[in-house]
Amino acid sequence: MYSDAELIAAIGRSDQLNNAIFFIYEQYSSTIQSYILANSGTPPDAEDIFQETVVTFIDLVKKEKFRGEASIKTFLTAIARNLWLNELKKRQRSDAREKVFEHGREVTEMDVSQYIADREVKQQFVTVLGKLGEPCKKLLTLFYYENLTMKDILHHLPYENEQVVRNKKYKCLQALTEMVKQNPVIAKLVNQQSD
Amino acid sequence: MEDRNDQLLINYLDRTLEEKEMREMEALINSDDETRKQLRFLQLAVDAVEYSAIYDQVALIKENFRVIQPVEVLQTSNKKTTRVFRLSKAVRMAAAVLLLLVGVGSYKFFTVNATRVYEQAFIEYTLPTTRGQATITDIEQVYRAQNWIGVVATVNRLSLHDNKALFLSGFAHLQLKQYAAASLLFEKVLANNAQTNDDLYRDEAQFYLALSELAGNNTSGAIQLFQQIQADKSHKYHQQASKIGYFDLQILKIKASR
Repeated sequence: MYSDAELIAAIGRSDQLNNAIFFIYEQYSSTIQSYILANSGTPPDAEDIFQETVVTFIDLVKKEKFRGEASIKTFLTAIARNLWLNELKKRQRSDAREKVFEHGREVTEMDVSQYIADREVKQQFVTVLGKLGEPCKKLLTLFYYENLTMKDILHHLPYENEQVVRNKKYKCLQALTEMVKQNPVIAKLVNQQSD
Repeated sequence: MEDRNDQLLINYLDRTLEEKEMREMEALINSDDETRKQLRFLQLAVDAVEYSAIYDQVALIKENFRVIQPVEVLQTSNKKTTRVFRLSKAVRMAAAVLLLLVGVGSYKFFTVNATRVYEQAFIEYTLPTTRGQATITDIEQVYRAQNWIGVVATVNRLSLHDNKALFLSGFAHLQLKQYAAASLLFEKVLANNAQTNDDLYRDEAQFYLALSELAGNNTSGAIQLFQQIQADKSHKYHQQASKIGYFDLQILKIKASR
């Protein structure tokens, strides 16, 4: 059992992250998934939206963008509601959108739209990484996500020495950057920002 | 030139440049649109790695959580409040035990990986004290000094490669993390024995072949060999291979098939 502050601290520690995610599922999944179901969602919709909500939340906490402006429960509910509204918009379900909007007033008034503004780009991130190939994905994950040194990475991957790992990591990041550049959704975001 | 700039930008992003180089790179980023744009794409690539890693981690936990998720919650559609389930004491106990099992199972699932199993099963091969031929003694000397490159070089110089020389060279390659080369040599030992109907260094080659396959990412091949050794009580490495638990092998199998 975590308090909000303890949960945030656990998310920041890689050795506790799995427990923290499990706790979020235990604590909040039924309420939030019921909310989606009560607003025209199907069980798979509810599961997918909750999963995306958790990923968004973890990402924000890791990047220290969650400032504790509301309780975690309120924040997660607001994110889920926005993601679901966004999804309905994509599916052009205006009747259901109105219902969510009205229902949302009872649940939360919190504006989290800024946190999910780049939702499509995030979805593309997962797609692009899926195409990168497992060895590169693993190497880049160990370096940038697990923050392992080149020396530590040698214990996880079958490379001969640190220099080989360094060269491989350079090539993998170059390949990934090229794929990111070629992705129309991501490239559009960069072009909008540079204009 | 473009490659060098890319390398510098990556080092800038990883914060591995010297202070002077950092300042020079910052000046270039501020003054050159193309460099700035390239840095933005690199940052997005790193963001993609981080986001995708979180996505995978949450997906994995979700799969574990599903085992204990009350199905009823997902079937109560169009109801504004979640139903509260009142469970009997016995059911609550069973749920607690299940939760504990899932918790332990989840922990196992996340912590068991090829590297950990390799470290758990690995044991140094110690040469027996019997004396061999003069040439083999040369190998023994470098082997006992743990001069792995020396072992490989000495064996390569030999005109005759018997099973002992092949095995020691394989072990040296394993220590040098040259897993494919190690596997080839261990396989050669096994092939020689099959041809001559002998068992010289057979058990040793089989066990260390399993380890080199494991480290070389051929997990399914390694699992098969470990299972053979575990099933054979007279195998020299039966006890060592049995240190790897049944569930650990099953988890490795699941992870290998993903």
